[in-house]
Amino acid sequence: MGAILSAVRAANGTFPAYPSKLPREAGEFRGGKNGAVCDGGQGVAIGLGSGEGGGFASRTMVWQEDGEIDISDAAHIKRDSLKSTSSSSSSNSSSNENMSCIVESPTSDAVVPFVPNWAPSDLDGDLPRPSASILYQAISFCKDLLLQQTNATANLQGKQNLTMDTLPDEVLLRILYYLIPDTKSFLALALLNRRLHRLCEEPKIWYTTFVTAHPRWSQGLPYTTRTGQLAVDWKQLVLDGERKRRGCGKMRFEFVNDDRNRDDSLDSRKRLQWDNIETGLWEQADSSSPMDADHEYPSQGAHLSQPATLVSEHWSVPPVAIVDPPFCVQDPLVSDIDRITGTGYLATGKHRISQLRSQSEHRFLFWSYPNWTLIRTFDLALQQELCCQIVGIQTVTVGNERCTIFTIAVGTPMHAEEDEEEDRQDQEDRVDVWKEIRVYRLYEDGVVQPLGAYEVQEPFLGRDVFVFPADHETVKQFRTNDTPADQNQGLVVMLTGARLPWLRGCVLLLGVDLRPRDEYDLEASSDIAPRAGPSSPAHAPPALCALLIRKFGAKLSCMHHLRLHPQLNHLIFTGSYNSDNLTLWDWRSGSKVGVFPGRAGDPYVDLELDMQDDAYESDDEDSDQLFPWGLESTMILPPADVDQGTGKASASPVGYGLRLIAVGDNREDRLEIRVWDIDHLLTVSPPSHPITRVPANQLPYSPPANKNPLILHHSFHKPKSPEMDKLNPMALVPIALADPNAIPIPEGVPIKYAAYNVMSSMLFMLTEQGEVTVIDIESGEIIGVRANVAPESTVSEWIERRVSGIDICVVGGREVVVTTKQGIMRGFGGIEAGNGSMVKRMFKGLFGRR
Amino acid sequence: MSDPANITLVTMDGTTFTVPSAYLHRSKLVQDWLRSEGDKQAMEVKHVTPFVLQGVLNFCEIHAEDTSEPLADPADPTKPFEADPRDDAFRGMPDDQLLQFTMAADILQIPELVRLTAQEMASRIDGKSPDQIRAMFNPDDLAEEDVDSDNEMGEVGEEGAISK
Repeated sequence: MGAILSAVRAANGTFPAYPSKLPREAGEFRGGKNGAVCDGGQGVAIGLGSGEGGGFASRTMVWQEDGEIDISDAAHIKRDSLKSTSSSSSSNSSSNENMSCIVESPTSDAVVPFVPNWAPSDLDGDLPRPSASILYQAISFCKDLLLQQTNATANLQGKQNLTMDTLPDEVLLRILYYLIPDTKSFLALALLNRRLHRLCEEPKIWYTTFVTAHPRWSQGLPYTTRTGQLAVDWKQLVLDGERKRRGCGKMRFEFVNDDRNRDDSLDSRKRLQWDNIETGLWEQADSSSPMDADHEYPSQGAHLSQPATLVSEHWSVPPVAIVDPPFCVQDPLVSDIDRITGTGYLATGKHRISQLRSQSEHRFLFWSYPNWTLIRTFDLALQQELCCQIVGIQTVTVGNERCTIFTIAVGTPMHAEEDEEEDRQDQEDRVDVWKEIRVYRLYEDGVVQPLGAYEVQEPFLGRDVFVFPADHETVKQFRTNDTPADQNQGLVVMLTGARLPWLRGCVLLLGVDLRPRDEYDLEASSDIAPRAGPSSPAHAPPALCALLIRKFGAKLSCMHHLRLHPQLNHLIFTGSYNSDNLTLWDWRSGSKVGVFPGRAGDPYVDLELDMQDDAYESDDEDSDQLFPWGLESTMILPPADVDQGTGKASASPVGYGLRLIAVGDNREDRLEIRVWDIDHLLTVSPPSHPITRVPANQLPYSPPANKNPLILHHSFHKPKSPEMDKLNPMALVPIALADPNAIPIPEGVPIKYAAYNVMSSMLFMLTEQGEVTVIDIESGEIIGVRANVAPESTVSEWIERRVSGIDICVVGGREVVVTTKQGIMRGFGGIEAGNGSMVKRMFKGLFGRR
Repeated sequence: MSDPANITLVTMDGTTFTVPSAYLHRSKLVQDWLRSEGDKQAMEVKHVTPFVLQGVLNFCEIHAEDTSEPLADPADPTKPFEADPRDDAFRGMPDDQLLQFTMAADILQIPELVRLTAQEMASRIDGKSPDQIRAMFNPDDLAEEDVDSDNEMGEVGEEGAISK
């Protein structure tokens, strides 16, 4: 007698559908929510409800004795549909009087019979099995469904009482990996309990998160150092980057405290003099000024002290109705922030042309960082035709002494031919052509000591200043043996820039001797004396001597001295108007030591072997050609390379993500951002001999032949308006054809920028009109646009609604600071905390003006 | 001795499942058991219910004839892979069953199933608040053995208060 073994209705469709090859063979059974199986003795019928789309469409399969499979659409399979013959397949069949196999609809409440102890082995023997595995699967599956419906099953599941914590660490970690890069989920899980919190702290997860989010930017970034220590606190790095990214969208800018309230209170200042030679104005703490409140001059911090030779004297303001304009900032913000402690100095300069005194007046402001306390001001007056700006501040260790040196360049602006008269007036206090360099030492208590001055002979477009201690490996060869032994504890100041008219790269090394603090050298030359005042060669700090003047390259569009790593301080990158490629120079010898391809593809195709000889003749500048106007290097990982285990600085920062970023444009409608991986520079042993005429791919610092270091290239173009297209048929040719990867820049987003800087993996770019655009370096996505950084509510009447941008800096790797003509503006908005990549000052060089 | 072509598994309640050995060639636990010496009558899978084991065996059968190389154990969780539509049914199960399947996959050491269930759990956790995650997977509250000596709770406190 045939017997129905079982019929089943699964509970509310919650069991997994039958995902075996049964559906695959039947071609119909997918996503079943109901199932039934019956044994008619000569075959087995299985019914499954497909239940897809909320409907119910039953299918039955019947295995006949001869191995055939019948498929029907019947919703109910009666016993009669099977050949009812005697069977010994189930000893339990007698207990079940229900002879039907019913495929229930999902809404049916029919009670189904159940044979709990039936097992597949019961079918052994006389039951034909067209496919043993399918038969087994089908029956056991339905049996499991039955079990699920029983109290016994419920009890079994109840005993398991599984929670997320039942899973082992390995599985939980795997789940975390699948959450990458959703760091919010990590933080949510970490709040559930200690174990999950511990797992969410796993550094490898955060490392993987970082490299997943920045696959190209982080190329080659190691998880640990060579000593096995974590390369960085990866969690902090990731969260810090996200915090900065979120913050940049809602960033607000506020002016920092400076001396703007004092602009017209010159009579409160006293002149710094050596005898009758004015060398600067000494800002004295004055309780009558609001700037002198305690928060501006903390008692424990740096304060002003008056040198013994200082002669106090009031300005004598002529009683005329002429009012001088307010001081305006023109200098970029220079910074000297200790990598480890995150403390240091910031400085900039403000300027004006005084009609009252027929001179240019300059005030340099120094803040301590990170509290932004204005610790001193320092004033200079020059001839009306000259201007000056602070071009660098840097702390170096000489012997056991830390010396903070700042440098002021005296010079003139250089106007481009296309500049309008209004632009020329705006730029009259620029210092593009350096005519004189003045070197000062700033003591912690605010005392400024002149160390010397150097008069630049040839037209020199200054770019950067770097200070070496005299015993620095890079420059000690230039401190010749005839230098007195007692003066070896000095400095070497390096000026980088370009010579006109060919824009040849140029490096000048100046020897500077340190002097006792109380010694104001009154017996040296007069170069330090202001040109506006009486000059006496007998009473001024010494003239500095040039230790080296080296020239290299030509037609340079930008240059960048590698400052971050002492072993790379002898290298300078340059971009060119003649080539897309970047060139790396050893400025000590003036020789080319590396070439970096500027485009994708074969890195050494069409690289010029040496451009020094023929570059002068090449003047075929294409107005539409993109050229880099700014270069900047940065490290992805914080440069405080301190191994956690030893507490000492790691021996080598190799693999810490040294990147070179170039921003270029055609000054019209195209903009591009390129990033090179230059980590390999740190592994190169400097050549012992000058290099002459070596193929580009054999230069010692060139990237390996099988590797293109250009890891990112974003190209933007401003779509032409239809009106312009009508006027210029050539404009119909889409610019994207020239660069298929060019991204049309949205309306309202500028394309001509004056300065940029990098924080984390974001590029902050500033226009001369005070607009700020933030771009994600990895993706090229524009993640923030600010029409103008001026505060919504002006704090002073003279502050304009719109500010004019000069420079944008990232201070200490964590704070965006915009220099405007109206003052220094700090960016607030969620990015104050954290520890990002250290980025140094960057501003658009004059070279971009051609 | 059981038929070497088949393997018999015994669940926590004594239910037995006899399946072709080929189904479980991706289970490291089973393969180690087969290579071990001793009685091979039946392999106990004590912490798995019949319902879950059946589902696991279903998964194994689906993938029994896959020609792809078995995943390394542990497989690289960051390596991208395409979802297999045959596994869709496993992605639709309730949260509690998903936990059981995840546990069973780990016990049987089937990397493909671990990957599937872990990824499904991750997709359900993604973007959820702590309370929502707690409602889904009922993680334990703080346990004494989880307390680390380095006062991690203090670190949590910096990011936000722990809600129980």
